[in-house]
Amino acid sequence: MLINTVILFLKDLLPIFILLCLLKVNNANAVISKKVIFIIVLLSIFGVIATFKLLPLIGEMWDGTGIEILQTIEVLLVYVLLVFSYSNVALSKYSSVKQLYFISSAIVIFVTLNTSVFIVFLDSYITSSEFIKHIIAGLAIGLGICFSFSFLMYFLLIWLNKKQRYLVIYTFWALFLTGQLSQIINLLQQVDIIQSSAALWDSSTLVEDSSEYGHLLKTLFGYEARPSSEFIMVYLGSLLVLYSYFFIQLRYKISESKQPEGRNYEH
Amino acid sequence: MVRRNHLFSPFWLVLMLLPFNLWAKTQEFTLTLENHVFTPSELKIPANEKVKLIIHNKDEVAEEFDSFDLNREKVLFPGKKTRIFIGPLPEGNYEYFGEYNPTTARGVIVVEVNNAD
Repeated sequence: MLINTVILFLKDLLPIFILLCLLKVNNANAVISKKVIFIIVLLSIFGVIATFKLLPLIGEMWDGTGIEILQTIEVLLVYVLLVFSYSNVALSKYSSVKQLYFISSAIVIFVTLNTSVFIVFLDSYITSSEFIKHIIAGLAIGLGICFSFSFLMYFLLIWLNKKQRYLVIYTFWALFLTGQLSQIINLLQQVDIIQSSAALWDSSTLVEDSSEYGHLLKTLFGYEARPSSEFIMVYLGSLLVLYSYFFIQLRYKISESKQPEGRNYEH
Repeated sequence: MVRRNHLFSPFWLVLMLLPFNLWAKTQEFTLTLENHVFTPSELKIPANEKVKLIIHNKDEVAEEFDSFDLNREKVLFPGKKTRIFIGPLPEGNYEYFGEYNPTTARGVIVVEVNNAD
């Protein structure tokens, strides 16, 4: 039960730590008021409780496809909100109020999405005194690993930021976001909304999905040892969108900086 | 002037009924979860065909059906029947487990060309 709690904690909650870490690196100068943080936490708690309570009901909706459809909508929302808020931030180093609203909304949805499934597990065993010690120990270990990992990642990204390796940081971001988005293919395939095709390749001899590295790579980049062609199409499509957006922004910024200062075309 | 109802034209009816026709052809297989154990522990399904797997969780607590081999992951709520689709798959053994009780809730889906149960 102890190991199981740690594994589930890492699987469900490590992505939240990584997302917050990635956002923090490129929003280091952004000042988020305590009021906004309080609202994000409050809405996240409300979202998690509401989703957890409604999950069995949602699961029965639309011929048993309710949870997959809900999770797909949530993942798509997070993706769209973050693509159009973060890609600007990655280059301009500041966040407008609108961008901060987008990012805050994405955080609330992402926390709700990931935590509500973990709460289902906790709810199953927290009432049993037999397992309570193992679960508390598992939560403490899981939390420790998540904090340690995200701090290490944060310092690595800060170091890259100081070296002005923006493309490397953006690659971390693009792969993380793409990994999250591509999970919708598996969700929709298991309820037959999207047709399943055979795996394009099998890299399980290199890294097994079930191994520690497999779990970590899945969280960071959406790694699949046996991906379907639909999965790869969405993965590559998302990377194309993210890099196109980045380079369009970069080009715009370069052309803006080339304009002579103090020149006023209105005169 | 009489307005023609295009919704009930043969083309649209065929298009609307096509998915139901496809669903009707999908074979169904059942797994039961009781006392954190899946039965049957070995389920045979036909190769190269999409099948519907109905999992009945008879326990009083939730479980999560998980399979790295099948790329499937679904919460099984207590007392509920859950449906997932798997395949088309090539011949082979595909392991699955209950993520909350991986030591007891385990099984394998055997994909065979013939003799599917």
